[in-house]
Amino acid sequence: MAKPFQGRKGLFIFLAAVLALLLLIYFTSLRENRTPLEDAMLAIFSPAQKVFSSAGRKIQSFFDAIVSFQELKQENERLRRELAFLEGQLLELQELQKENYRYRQLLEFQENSSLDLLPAQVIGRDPSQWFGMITISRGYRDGIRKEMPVITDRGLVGMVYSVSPNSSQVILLTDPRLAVSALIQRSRDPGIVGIVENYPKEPALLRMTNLPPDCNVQPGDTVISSGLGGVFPKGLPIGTVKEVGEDQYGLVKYVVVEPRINFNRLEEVLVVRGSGGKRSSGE
Amino acid sequence: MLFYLVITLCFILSMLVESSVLSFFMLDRAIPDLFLVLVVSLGFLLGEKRGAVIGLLAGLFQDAMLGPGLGYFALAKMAIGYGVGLLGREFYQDQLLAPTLIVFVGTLTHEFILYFLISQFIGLGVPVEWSLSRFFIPKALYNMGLILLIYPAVFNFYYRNRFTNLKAALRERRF
Repeated sequence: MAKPFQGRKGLFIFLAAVLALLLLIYFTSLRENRTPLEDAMLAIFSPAQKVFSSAGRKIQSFFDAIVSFQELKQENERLRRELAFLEGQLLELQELQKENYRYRQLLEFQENSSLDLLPAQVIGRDPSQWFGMITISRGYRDGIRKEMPVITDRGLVGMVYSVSPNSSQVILLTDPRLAVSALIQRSRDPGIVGIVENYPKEPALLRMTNLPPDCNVQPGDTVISSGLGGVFPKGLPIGTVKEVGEDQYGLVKYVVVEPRINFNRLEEVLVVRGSGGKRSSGE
Repeated sequence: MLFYLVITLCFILSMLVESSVLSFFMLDRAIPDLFLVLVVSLGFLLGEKRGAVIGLLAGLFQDAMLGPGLGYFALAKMAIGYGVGLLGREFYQDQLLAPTLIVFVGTLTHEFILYFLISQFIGLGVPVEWSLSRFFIPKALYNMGLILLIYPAVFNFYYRNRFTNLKAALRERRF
């Protein structure tokens, strides 16, 4: 049997490399900016990532279609029956929809009209389970800056983590490094503000902590951003309360939140460039 | 030279596939690690020194493209490349059983190293036994399936390349 550590020189070089890498990790873990070399690599590979990401979506659609093919026939029959019933309700619903649309327009105008939003495509995802990160197709050339909130029409996604010329990395709500101040929409009590963060035991869910024990919260309540901290605008939907619990001493409550967004299926997002007057954008 | 050029292209392609296409096919957040499968295959064939260097470079590339800081994937993959290179001496290289078992153990080791580094330098609130059952083992099983496809291709390409170089060297000596 060969003796693995017979060549001591090789072993010393290996241990020196381990030490050097540990130092590298120590100095780059809490850094503010990426190195120019990393930025250059991202800039070089982001066009190819866009192509592969687009191909991935097509492949996914193809497999989804195959998987659902067996169910399509039965579903088709069921849908035909439902269609007859639904057609009768359509006229009534159209009236309601118009009314709803008008109210929604008013509400959006009231709550969101000052946001300056920039659409961006998701072109890459962190494949490891440790960090909830995505790469989007906009960078500082498009006016993106660090810590800008990222949303979709369904709610809050996360925050810009690092910016390159033509792409940016976004840290998602499911990442252990991100926490958002939030409140319960139904009560809108400014005294009841909790922290929404990742839920390590169930990566698809979030957890809202630091709620007082007497706070009025129940399953089904909607959780929205509180606006405290100045990073995230107030009122962005985060998710729905799934479960309410207390810590082991009964001092604070926590709730498990089901996010409104499926973070694994994000395709387009909106970057909030500011909450002031809208920019004249040609994008 | 041609061998290393092709390997470099394979790593770039793996990065693109891993960060885009594969993430659409994840099962409960576990997806195969193409980089690690390539590092294990190459370390097994080329020995500990070249295995460690390939692991280091591949890991740094992964850190620069996707990591939160530099060194996490580099350290984990360099250690795996070195370890697999040492183990490669003890097994027949033309049989699939050894690399298949080694990639399972290697994936678990790789994930434990990452878990330790992230716990120390960033902080992580996930219990290790829970991570083992939810992430590490599914990923290791994925990688076992993947190496059945990748290792034979790397093996054939490596020995065909060596054979061609050998023939060229003999021809030069004869004339």
